[in-house]
Amino acid sequence: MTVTVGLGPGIFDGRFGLANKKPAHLAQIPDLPSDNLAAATTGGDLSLQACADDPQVAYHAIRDLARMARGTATVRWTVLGFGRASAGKNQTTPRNLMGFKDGTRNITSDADYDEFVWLGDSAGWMAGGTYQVVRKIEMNIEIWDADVISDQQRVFGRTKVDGAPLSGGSEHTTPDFHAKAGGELKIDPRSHVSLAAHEHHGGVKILRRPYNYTDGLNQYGQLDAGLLFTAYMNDPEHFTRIQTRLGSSDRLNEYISHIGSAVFAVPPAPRAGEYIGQALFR
Amino acid sequence: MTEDRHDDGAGSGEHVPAPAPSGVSRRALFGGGLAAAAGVGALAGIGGSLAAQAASAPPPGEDIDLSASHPFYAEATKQPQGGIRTVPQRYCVLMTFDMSSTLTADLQVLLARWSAAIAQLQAGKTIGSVSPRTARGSAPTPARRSTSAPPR
Repeated sequence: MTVTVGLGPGIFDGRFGLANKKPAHLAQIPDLPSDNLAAATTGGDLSLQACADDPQVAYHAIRDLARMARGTATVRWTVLGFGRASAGKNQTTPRNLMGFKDGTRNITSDADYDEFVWLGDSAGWMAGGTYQVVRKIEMNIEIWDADVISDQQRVFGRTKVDGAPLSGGSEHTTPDFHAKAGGELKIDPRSHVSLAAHEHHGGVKILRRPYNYTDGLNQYGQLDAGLLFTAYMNDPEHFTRIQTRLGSSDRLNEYISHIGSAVFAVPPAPRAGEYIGQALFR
Repeated sequence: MTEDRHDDGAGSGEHVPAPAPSGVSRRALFGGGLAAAAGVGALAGIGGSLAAQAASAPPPGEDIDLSASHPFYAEATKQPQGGIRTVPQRYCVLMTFDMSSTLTADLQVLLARWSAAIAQLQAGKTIGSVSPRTARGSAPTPARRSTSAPPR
């Protein structure tokens, strides 16, 4: 298992005398188009992300760490994620709760990690660290399930079974956003794959590491489920840039709602005998 | 678990040569066990187990190793924390906190205690021995040293 610790913008407000140590790009994510954020699932001074192949292990770790925080920090919100919705090295692409493969074009190469995820020497004490953006994305899966597959495929811009772009080929074929059939673009410009594509964001990429979640039933008695979208990047503005575009015109917006949001600076790992964020207190 | 136990659900007690054990994953065995338990005969059970093994054999990188551990401490400067590039595990709990204390030393102690605890957890150990036990104790390198003696 792993536990990843993040420091929210609040750590660098006036309370702890750390304002002058604030990581350069750490700022609240601005209000974005089609946001529907709830205070109960937004923000936080600190974050813990515990991941394991056994949910008992991950939850036990979180519980132990929450116990240690008693008297110093209070729990703000929590999500249990399952069915990893992203693929790592040598893993096959999993599916999100909409039934589509998620993360096909995710960051995998050393060069992309260096360019888009890790902070360099100019970040000072944060060098080797990164930023974590968390969004709790509710999916109206009962409405989604009533939609025909051909329309679902148009919404994503990929085939449901294989995850191939609608411009042709197989899952890992680069989508051709100019390919046409009968005078129309094969991949709808308002499809999720088109709007999220790095080709349409000045080449900017983010590392996605999301999980599915369910909270049982919502207040209307419908299935309450969605995506715990967690992403890592060396500037949270990259997320803002992509989500501004998605939130404005993504065909998927009819079926999803961003109900939670938070951003954290993730310091590098400590050397033996040190602790996370120790450089802050020197 | 041995291959012979595939037959338990079929209840024949008849000896059937076990398939070669090499390369059989626990998940495949479990799938085979279910096939056998579904009431098919002993031989069909083995056939079912082989079929299930072929169908459910995880692709490379999809195996679960519950004994896996991840080093917590960096061996070089500028080394990232785990859980970012780590090959995604199957479950994740995210929890965020608000500081209720406004003492810098409390934040410092919390980060130090969490670090020590996470180092233990990622090594697959329990964290009962992490100290200091109270946030009002001294921090490892306190910014503002308390006048009281640190707890023993």
